[in-house]
Amino acid sequence: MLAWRVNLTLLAVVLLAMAAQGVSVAAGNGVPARINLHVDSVVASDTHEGVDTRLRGMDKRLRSLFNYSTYRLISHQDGHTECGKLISFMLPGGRILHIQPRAVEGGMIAMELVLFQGARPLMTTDLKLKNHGVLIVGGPRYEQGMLIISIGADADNGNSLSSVPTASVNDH
Amino acid sequence: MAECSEISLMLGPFEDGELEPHEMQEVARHLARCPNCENLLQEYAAIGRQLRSLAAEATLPTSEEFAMGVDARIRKLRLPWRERLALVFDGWSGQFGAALGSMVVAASAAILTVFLMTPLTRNYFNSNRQAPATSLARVETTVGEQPQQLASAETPAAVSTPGNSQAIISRLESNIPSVALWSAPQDGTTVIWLPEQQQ
Ligand SMILES: [Zn+2]
Repeated sequence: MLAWRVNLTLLAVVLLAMAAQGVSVAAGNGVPARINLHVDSVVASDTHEGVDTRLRGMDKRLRSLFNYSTYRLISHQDGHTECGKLISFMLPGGRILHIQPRAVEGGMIAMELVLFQGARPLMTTDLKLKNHGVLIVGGPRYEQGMLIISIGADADNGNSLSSVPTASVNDH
Repeated sequence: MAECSEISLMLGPFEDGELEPHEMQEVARHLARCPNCENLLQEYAAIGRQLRSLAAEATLPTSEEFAMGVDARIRKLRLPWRERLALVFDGWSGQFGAALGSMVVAASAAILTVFLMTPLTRNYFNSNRQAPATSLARVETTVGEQPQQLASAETPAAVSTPGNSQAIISRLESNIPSVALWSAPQDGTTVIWLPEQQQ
């Protein structure tokens, strides 16, 4: 008799948990948010060559943040993923950037970001980035200057979500 | 923003990771914006590398050679009279047996008792006891300061970037000792700066 009661309680708990999960999927329209990521690798140096014309959109931001006289775009990469799925970007100088979005809430995208130098992690951070916001990670040396990585992210409820995270690369 | 002249004085200790956490951050932040100081830091790093390679090339004696050298020098040292006397007593005790040995022990105990009872020696001991007490207090102060230093070392991680910032950072871990974090006042772009340093 007691065993029956325990089994019924367990069943109720399992059913409740399943119902709760269903509600959370419904709240997000059942379609997980697609996260678009844009990673620009820029090398900054003091060789008085000005700003790369391909960096027109970032020009003002870079000048307001740093005091270098030369900014050259090394690569531009776009990637798409979804919450819980890790995406990685190969960066200049053997660096690797892992981004794993966790949630989209209140106009912010929560994510974990890990920057590697080869196999060695240089930095790990948890952050919330504004939708369409930009985070800059810089400092490692590259060629004759400093590497500046601009990470932009935006979320949408895209229906053309690919099942595997993808990153397309434009090396310059 | 700190002046280049101030920063340049801190570059050597910065390269060695010897500054206070807030100073490490200040220098890192300045370096991110100042190519001149960054170049100077690279020169320091190059000198450091040269010194280390020179040190690695220099021939040092092996541990056995070193131990033998120390032994030889000890043997050459003149013994103080007290130790010579002790050696003589040792010889005697070997010759005259345990009776004389115990007499020597008793005599030493008596001398020690007299020495301890003298007010002068009591002062001597008191002053000797105080010295370690003050150094202990200093240790306690240092220990007391450490959590503060740790707290400021963790500041970048704890900073929820203010106002119009585009990013709110809840955790930031790195084994680089001088990670700097700031947001541009104009558009709130958040910057994490990781100066490359020898580990
Ligand atoms: Zn400077």
